[in-house]
This record gives sequence, structure tokens and C-alpha cells, in this order.
Amino acid sequence: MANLRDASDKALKLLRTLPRVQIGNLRPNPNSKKPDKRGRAQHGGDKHGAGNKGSGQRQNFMRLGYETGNQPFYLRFPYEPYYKGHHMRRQYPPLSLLQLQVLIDTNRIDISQPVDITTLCNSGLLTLKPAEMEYGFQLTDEGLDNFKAKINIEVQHASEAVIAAVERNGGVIRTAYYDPRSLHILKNPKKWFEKGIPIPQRMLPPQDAIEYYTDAKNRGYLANPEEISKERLVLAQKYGYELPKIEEDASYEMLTAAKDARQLFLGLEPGWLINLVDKTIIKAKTT
Amino acid sequence: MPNLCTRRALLHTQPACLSSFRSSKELQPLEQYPDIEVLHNPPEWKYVERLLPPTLVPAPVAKPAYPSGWQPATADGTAEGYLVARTKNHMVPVYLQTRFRGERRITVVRRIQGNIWALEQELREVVQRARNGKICATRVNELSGQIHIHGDYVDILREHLKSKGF
Repeated sequence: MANLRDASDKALKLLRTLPRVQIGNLRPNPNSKKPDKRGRAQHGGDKHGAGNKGSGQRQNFMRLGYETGNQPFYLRFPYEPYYKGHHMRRQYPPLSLLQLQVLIDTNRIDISQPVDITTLCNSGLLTLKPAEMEYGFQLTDEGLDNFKAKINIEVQHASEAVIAAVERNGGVIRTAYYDPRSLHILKNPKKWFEKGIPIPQRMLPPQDAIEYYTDAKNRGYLANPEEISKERLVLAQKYGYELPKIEEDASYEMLTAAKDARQLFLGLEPGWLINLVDKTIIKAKTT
Repeated sequence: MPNLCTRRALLHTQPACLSSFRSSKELQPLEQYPDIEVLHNPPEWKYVERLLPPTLVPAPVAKPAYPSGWQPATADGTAEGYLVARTKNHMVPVYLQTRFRGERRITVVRRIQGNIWALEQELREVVQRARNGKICATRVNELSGQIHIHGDYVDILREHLKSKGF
């Protein structure tokens, strides 16, 4: 009995919170309405656009590609795998040197600090969609002659001419790999910090990308630094410019600042938790 | 007085798939978690501030040279009697509209204030010079401050407006 009373109490409590019975939330009694008959003169009339006989009249829509007994077109020819796995391939949306120079000239990015994906996305003019297999930006050579900025930039892909254009001005360029989850965090770090989840570790590149990112010619982030400094000199001789000495530069600290291969943000280590409200950093205690 | 908020939470039966709070793990005994320290005003905070996006479009800074070809607006329109204002991104508001699969291309100059008819005369001359004296068709929308010019003359008009300081 106690259970029953509990149930009725609950039902009454529930009823109190529900809205009143009124014309706005009533519906007709079940089975009181009959579906309209579509007469010959109604709604387009006659056969209502469905044709006269057979499967058309019954609106029997065939499955896509079916040709009523013919060998379907999509099965008629042998398979030719030109684009095999194209939906799995990594994409690098282009960012030209001209665009980058415009961003610098209009004060949209601060080149007194190292430039990475976050800097570019925070300008509000560039976006990245990691969910659509976009793995970062590639720096392209449009506007190469007019590029005059001295920057420390990290992109995901760059051609030889672009590397030369950046290094001619005394800048530093590095190509680095980020896994999709890291890219998702990098494109909007503020949103990630607000979630209250610690900064994760960056993954190492997949097997088919390791060759690119360990090559000093591509200024890969996994390449030997000594080989990179040698390749800088080789490229300067190939393109015929004098390599500016960044060791004697006033902004040497900024130009040589680089993330660790497992690091997502410069200066912030994986495992830290950022509290934007209290402006605190929560770290694991080291004993 | 029953607490409506909690009641509504009880009635809420749909699983909150997208909510990180509801789908998060339950709290475990505190001993299972690592020891932490909370740092107020840490020296690393400057790296965090660098990652936060600006809330407004930053104002352009005066520089000795602008290698990209962009230049800040210098004219205020008093000499010409009209003004072509920059956009919120500090760009010259000249655009290309394409219709009918690119068959019809129309150059649109927006954000015009003041004597729009004088500007129309001037732009018409610039475009006619570019097409070797052939007459060009224009349309002026005085209310919205726009001039539409038949054909793709975006680069020519943008450079012209920039040379006048707009």
C-alpha cells in the first residue's frame, strides 16, 4: 500500500509541475481523424503527378544506380584505384606568403613572438578543420618577392623557395606535425582551457610522415639541429643570398624558441591545467 | 515551495550526449588522484595570455613600409567631397559579384559616404580608361552608398582608391 501511495504522491507532484490543460496543449482523440482522400480534382488532380501504370504509379522509387535489370553503370567497368584512400589523406590548406605579409602589415599577428597555428587562427581570418582531415597550414610561395618580415614561424608544410624566402630575411621556419586532437586544441586554446581538462601530450607523426619531419631540408622538427644549420647555409648558397646571422640578432631568444616534440603550447607543459578565471596553473606536485 | 530546478532535472530523461559534465567520469576517492599544487601568478602565465584571442580587431600600427601593398587610410574625404570608408578589417571595400555561373561580373564599391555621384563620375573615367575609351555601365545606390560597375575592375578600382588615400 505504501508503494501505491508513494506512486500516487509522485504522480500528483508531477501533475503540479506540469502545465494546465488548455486549448493550446490538447490534441484530437485517437482515431477521430481520417486521412484526407486525394480526389481527382484536388492537389494537382488526376494521378497527382505519379503517372499512369506500374512502378511509377506506386511510387516505387528504385535504389540509387539500379537500372531495372541492366548491368548498372557503376558496376559495368572494372575498378581503377586512382583515388584510393583519398578520404584518408592528410590535407594542408594553403597560406601564401602574401597573405602572411598582409596579416603582419595590418597588425593581425604579432611577429615579436613565435608564430604557430594558434597565432594564425587567433587572427580570426584563418580557420582549420581537423575533423575534415586538415592537418595544418602549408606556406605557399605566392608573394615571395614581397615578403620582408623577420619571423619565427611553425607550419606543417613548406616548399624550398618558401623556406629560402623566410630565411633570407633572417627568420626561422620549422615544419611540425600535430595529431588531429592537438590541432583541435590549438585552433582554439581558450575553449580547451575553459573545459578544465589538462593539456594533453602531442602525438608523434604517423609512419608515412616521419621521413618528411626528420629531414633537415624540410626544416622538420625532428631533424638534427646541426644538419638544419648546415642546410640553411646550403640553401643560402643555392638561392644566392647572404644568410643573416641569427646568433648576433637582438631577438635571438625569440627566433630560436621552439616547442618540444611532445609539447602543444610554447612554455606550457603537458599535464598542466590552466584556470582562466582564477588565473592559476595547476601542476602535479614533484616529490 | 518545491524546487523547480531540481524537479526539472529529475524529469529530464534525455541523455546529455554533448555535455562534458554529464558524460564525465564519477568522482573517485581523492587518494587515487595525484598530488597537485595550485600556482597563483605563475611566471608561465605570459604564455597563456599569448594564446588568448583578441576580442577586437586590432588597430593598424604606423610602419615605415608595408611590403604587402596594403596601406592605411589617409584621406578623410573633405577634399574630394566623398569618402570610401574602410571595412572593419581595414580593407578597401571593393568586391566582385558573379552571377549566372560567372557570366555576369559586377564590381561593387561599398561604404560610400558624401557626394556619391562625383565618385561615380570619377570611377567611370578610370574604368573607361582601362577599357580603351569604351563606355561602361554603372548603377548608383545612393541609399546604401554603393556603386555597381559592369565588369571585373576590382584591382583597378582598389588601386585607384588606395592612390587617393581611401
